[in-house]
Amino acid sequence: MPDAPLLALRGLKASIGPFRILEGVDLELREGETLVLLGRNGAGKTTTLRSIMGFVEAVDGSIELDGEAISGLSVDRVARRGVGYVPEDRGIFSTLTVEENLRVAAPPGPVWERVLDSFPVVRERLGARAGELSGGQQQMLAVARALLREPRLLLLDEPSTGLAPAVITELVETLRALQSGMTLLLVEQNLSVARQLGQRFTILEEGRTVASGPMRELTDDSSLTERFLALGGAEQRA
Amino acid sequence: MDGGTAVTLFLNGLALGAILFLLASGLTLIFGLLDFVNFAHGAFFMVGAYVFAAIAAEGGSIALAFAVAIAGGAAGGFVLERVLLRRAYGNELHQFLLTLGLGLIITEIVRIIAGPNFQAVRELEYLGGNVSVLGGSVQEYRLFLIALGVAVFLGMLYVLRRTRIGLIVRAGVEDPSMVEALGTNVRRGFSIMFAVGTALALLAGAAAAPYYGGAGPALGEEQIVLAFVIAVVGGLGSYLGSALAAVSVGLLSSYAAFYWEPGASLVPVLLMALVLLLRPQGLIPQAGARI
Amino acid sequence: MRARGAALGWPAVAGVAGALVVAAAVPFWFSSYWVTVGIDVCVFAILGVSYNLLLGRIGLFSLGHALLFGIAGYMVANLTARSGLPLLPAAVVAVVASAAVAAVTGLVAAGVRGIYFAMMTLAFAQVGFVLAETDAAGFSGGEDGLAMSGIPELININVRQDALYWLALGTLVVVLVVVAVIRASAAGRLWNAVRENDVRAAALGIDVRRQRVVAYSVAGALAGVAGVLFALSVQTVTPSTMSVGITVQALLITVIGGTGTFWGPVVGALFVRTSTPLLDELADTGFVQDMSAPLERAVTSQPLVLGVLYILFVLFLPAGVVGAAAQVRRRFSRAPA
Repeated sequence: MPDAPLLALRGLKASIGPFRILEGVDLELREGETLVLLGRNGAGKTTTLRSIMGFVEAVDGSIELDGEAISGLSVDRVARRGVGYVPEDRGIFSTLTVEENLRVAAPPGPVWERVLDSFPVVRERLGARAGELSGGQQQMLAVARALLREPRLLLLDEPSTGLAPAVITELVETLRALQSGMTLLLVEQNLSVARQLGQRFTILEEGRTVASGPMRELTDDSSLTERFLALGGAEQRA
Repeated sequence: MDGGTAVTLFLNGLALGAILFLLASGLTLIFGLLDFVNFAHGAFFMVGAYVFAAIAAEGGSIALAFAVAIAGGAAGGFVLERVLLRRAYGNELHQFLLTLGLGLIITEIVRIIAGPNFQAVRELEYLGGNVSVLGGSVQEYRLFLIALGVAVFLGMLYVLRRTRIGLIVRAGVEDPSMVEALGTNVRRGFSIMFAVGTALALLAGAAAAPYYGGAGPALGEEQIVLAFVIAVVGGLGSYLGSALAAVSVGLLSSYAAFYWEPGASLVPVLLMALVLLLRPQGLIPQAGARI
Repeated sequence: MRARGAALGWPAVAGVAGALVVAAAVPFWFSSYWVTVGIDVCVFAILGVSYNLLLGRIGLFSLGHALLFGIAGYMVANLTARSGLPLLPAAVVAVVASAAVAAVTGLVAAGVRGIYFAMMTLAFAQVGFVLAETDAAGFSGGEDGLAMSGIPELININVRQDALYWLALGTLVVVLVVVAVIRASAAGRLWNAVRENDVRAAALGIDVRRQRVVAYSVAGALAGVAGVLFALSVQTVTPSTMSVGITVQALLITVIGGTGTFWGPVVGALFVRTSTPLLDELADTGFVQDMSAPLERAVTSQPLVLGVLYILFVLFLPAGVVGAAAQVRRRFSRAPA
């Protein structure tokens, strides 16, 4: 018997100011799964994540975490319900040290040991000012920090943006080691990363869900990539 | 200028710097964390001066005056934020208009209650004498001011650097949304931050009363400019910056006034204009602040 | 499009014409004291129009408007009293001076965010005020002020008030026409766009900085006109013309009248500047005399009463008196708004 989804979005509509961004997003994420959210620029992927988190208010539709509605809750409440968030710009507190960044999430304890074991790069540079880290190191810090709160659901917005290929590989490996015990909602433009990490996918176009399914469908059926994702072949580097 | 005068001017400048630091640190804290511009800050300063004049002017307890100023400021600031000011979050023009009006009303109420004249602070029971330091003569109270300024500075530094609240404040100044995404309600802290900022303004006023010789309704108007100058020069939202700027302005004003009386008023203003033109982010730029 | 008398229909034009006739007839019906008040209302209405142009049109919040007002006053006083220039050329130079100071301030400060602009204007005004008070630059005569000379007997307020009143009223009408033209022009629309969203305006290709400098210069010129008229009416220019108090008056007038509306500054000036004499009359009534002393002072204190009103307007009626009246009118007329 299939479990009820951990996260369910139904008919989600959301606006930013006068602009309607989401016109009806449907999404289901089961516990332990990694779902990749795909789509062109401006399709509404980031807005979807931000709506789940509570930064953007839903105009219509529902957001349910483990069967409970969370749309309308304040951001900190959503976070305390077990949703973690790593935004596209990483959200690092650059004037604080790496250790202080981690402390904002949670005071030092056994969780730190576990998480830092998976992120040796972060452990090495605890005393450094976060603003001085490289892009890849900052990304690791952002993910480690989010994990310190032991979230049930982790939202990652384009973690591979701006990173060198070697760094991306390292990031993917780190995430793969972690994902078996976690539920991940990943937004990615990089199809290679998407394919390596994702078990299922959902494609957004103009604020709507237009396609959904297991990842193998995306690899097998190139018509989907062409119709909804291709932007002159730039994303085909895989 | 002989050595003794130089020393006196130096110490007087530091004392003035201490007052300015107390005043500006509240402002910069509120602006840095809450992104809120408070034009009533000068009026709070004035109220603090009147508190001192009412309690300690005729030889009453200085400590009591300070305590009342701090407590009153904290309570008043907390209530004001809750009731009135949080309506203006996110709308800068609204903040300007609202807090300006608030400042006007507070000033006028004080003027009505206490009368329009300057209330002189007469002989202080303690710290009233003069002391000779390195050839220069300086009032004991001014040395006390310097000590007070340093104490508050170190105290707040400790809170900011070593406590969780301080950590949240520093992170929140840079990116309040991210702090929320990490599970901490920043908004609830706003009332507290506003209370702290207001308490600092009242403390500054109380501490400044003997320095200026008393309390008057115009005190707030003059000081609000200075407070903003310090905050801007130091870097809006930067705690260290406001300390540095306050000391600089205090010293510069003290020396400038020796040569040319209007200098005391002109120097800070010219400094601010220069900073805004050449380095608008201030001496110690604050990450996350928008120019 | 809200040009003057946007409903260029009968009622609006008749109303304006009627009001103008009534206003012009004031010296015939009222004592010289009230005529003087009328002059004051006109002067501050012009100042309010100038401030409204900044706050309500181009969206600049200035804390130093007094500088532009006072500079014109000191300029005209200096030129007539010390340089012997006749009144009219001196007045023109004074207005140009205000516009120039505004232009310079604008060039320096127009590119920065609201709070910094406000601080800059406040700083400059403070400099002006200190220089005026201490006469450090030699142009102000210190705290006692500088007296004008060369005022023709016709508009010498000590001799007769009506001619000066009509001059002030006429100037106000001219100023209002100028502003109406601006509002209807392309520049006016550009300024609106800048006020609403300067980032988007810039993205649309509008040179935001330049428009701000232009708007600020125009506002400066208008403030200068008010300053010259004020100097004529008080005959001795004092440092208070550059004080924060003047800027506060302009702000109160603009907000209470209705920021961004056409008639707002006029209504606001009427309100704010007659409040002091009216409150004085109130203080003499038995009703108020019977109150306890602090309460009596509170009720008759112009700054307090206006301050509270101002806050109420800011919180609940941001459209000011004029805006609120428009809303009421819309509610009662069934015509589509």
